[in-house]
Amino acid sequence: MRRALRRLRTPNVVLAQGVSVILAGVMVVSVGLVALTMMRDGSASATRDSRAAALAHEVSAVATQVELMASSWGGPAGMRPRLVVEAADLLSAAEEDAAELHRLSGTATSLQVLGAVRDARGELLNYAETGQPQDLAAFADHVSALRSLTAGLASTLTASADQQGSNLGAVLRLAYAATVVAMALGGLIVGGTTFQTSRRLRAALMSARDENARLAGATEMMRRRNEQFQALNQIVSEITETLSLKYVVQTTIREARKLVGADVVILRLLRGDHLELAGTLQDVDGDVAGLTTLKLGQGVVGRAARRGKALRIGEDAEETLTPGEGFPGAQSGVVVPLIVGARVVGTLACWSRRPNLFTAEDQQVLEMMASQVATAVAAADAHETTEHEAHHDALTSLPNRRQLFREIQERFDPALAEGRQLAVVMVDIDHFKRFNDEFGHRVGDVTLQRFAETLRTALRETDNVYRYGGEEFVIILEGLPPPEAVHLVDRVRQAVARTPLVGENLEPIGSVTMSAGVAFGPANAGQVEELLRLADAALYRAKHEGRNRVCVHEDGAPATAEAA
Amino acid sequence: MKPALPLATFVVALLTAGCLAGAAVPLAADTGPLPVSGVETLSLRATEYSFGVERLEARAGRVQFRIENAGTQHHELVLVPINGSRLGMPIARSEPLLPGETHYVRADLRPGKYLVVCTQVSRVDGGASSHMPLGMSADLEVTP
Repeated sequence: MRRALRRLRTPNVVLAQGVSVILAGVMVVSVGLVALTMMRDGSASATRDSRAAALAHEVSAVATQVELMASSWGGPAGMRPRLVVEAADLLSAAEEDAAELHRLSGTATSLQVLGAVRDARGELLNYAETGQPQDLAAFADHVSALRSLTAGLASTLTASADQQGSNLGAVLRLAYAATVVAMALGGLIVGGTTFQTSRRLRAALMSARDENARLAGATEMMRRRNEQFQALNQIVSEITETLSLKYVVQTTIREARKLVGADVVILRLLRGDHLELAGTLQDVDGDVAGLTTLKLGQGVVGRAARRGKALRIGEDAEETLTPGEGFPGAQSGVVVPLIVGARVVGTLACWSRRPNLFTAEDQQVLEMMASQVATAVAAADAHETTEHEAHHDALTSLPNRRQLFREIQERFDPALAEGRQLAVVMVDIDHFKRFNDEFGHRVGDVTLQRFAETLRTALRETDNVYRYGGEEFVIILEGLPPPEAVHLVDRVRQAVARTPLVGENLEPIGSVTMSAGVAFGPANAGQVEELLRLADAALYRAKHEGRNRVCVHEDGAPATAEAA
Repeated sequence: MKPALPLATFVVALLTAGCLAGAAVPLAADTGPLPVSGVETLSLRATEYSFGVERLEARAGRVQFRIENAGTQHHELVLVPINGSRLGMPIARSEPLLPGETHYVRADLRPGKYLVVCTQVSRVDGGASSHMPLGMSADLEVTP
């Protein structure tokens, strides 16, 4: 009975064990299969969102780029037909992207993006037809709306794709767990099947991961490009509002460095056939002190300017740096010309210690930036040149009489009113008319330049020199007691007398001398104009007393210094 | 027995996912400034920013939309099928209408839900917005 029972029980136990193993195995395989299906779906969904995010970034980048183009059409250059065609092409491509984006995404926002991009294109064609400023404004509004719509959608989709990606990982962990359970149960056939499933799963996951990584990379690139364009837009609107050259240059190089991650950025402006330094910005302890003015065509920078084409250094070893254009240790760089119309007005160069840092996209973004800032740089430069010309003497580059009176009003009279000491000096070159007649006007002009140079070098940096007219100059010395001021002016007189001059054929023609009259504020008068009059009277006395001397207004007192 | 719960969840999730996968089939559409007779016509009056109606109904088959721009800005009619929670590709679209213009848009419609919208963009409060979220959207139900 017991034996019979045992016989009966043993197969039963084995059977029960077998059945349970098979059941568990089937269940585990089912889990694996379901996980596989889920993962395929999840992978498709993640892929779809990544793709949609990349498209949204692309459309957004186009909107920003087109907005940027449109912002320049409002300027003095007006609508540029080539750029209008380019913008229309970009919007056509964006329309296709937007259609695919909506097909993938199917939301109210993606539908609006699709409508907005068509709408923007319609507005552009309308503006191209009429050229009216209000149509340009309408177009700009549409593009700006398109940009904000797509930017929002892009970030939502990117977040969603990231979430889907992490969900995939969870599914895979479950599938692996199923395999482990099956193996542990020991069902060979079942385990084998599950293992097969798991392998298929892993392969599918790997390909899904690859695809997702590829799309994530593409999305990231689009996002970065989009950000670059938005930064550009920001810069352009910032600098078009100012006419300060210094501000325009500083903003441009600061933003250029941010855009491409350069160590050193250098902006040069073309003056005649030389590229002069306008501004630099450095991120490393590189020695940019050695930077020099470059001739057109000299070095990579000079060549980029002469050809009007961007040059990238690093990839092709043919381009090498000329001393003075980059900084020692620069391994890669990109130089883009600043072009207004067909005229090169300067160069923007970005350098890095790292080799091959700059990509074709970086170059493209910088070119885009250069085309936008060039107009602003040129406008600010022209503005400042005009300003400088209005207030400076063209021959000697000294501030002129107009500038003197402006400064009297703005600085010197208020200083006098505060009781600060001023010495006002009237200076005249002795016998200059005779000198002009003898050696000619050309030598006379060169002499005036040399004379101005001598004044500037003999005086301190903080002293003020003006060309008053003809061969007359005015010097204003601040904060010096009268004896020291007179001493300083006399030192200038001696320096002038020591400066050798040359004639038309570079033959030595001796030197000129100067006479000066000095008046002191607030001792002699409380107004600079009155001091000028007193100094002029003292100068007259100096001339009368034999020239080459400094006379001081001292209530009719005689000269204090005379010819050596 | 632990995997049973996730298993059930997967099955449910799978079934749900399958239901949502239906795709929009583009249908024929034509537009123009003149109406066609003998066709069911739905009228919409576009202003800033409304179509004058929020719900429309029609029988399946050829349907004609009459859209009158009674506003001061450009408006349009875009017809989009709704597939579950997703919006499909537009199946019909009028030209952007100038103020005062009237346009007819015809489409062959299958039973289901649709959305009539205007996706023109206007300057609003210093920025710019599509007309759709401003109120230019109407539901359309097409019955067999």
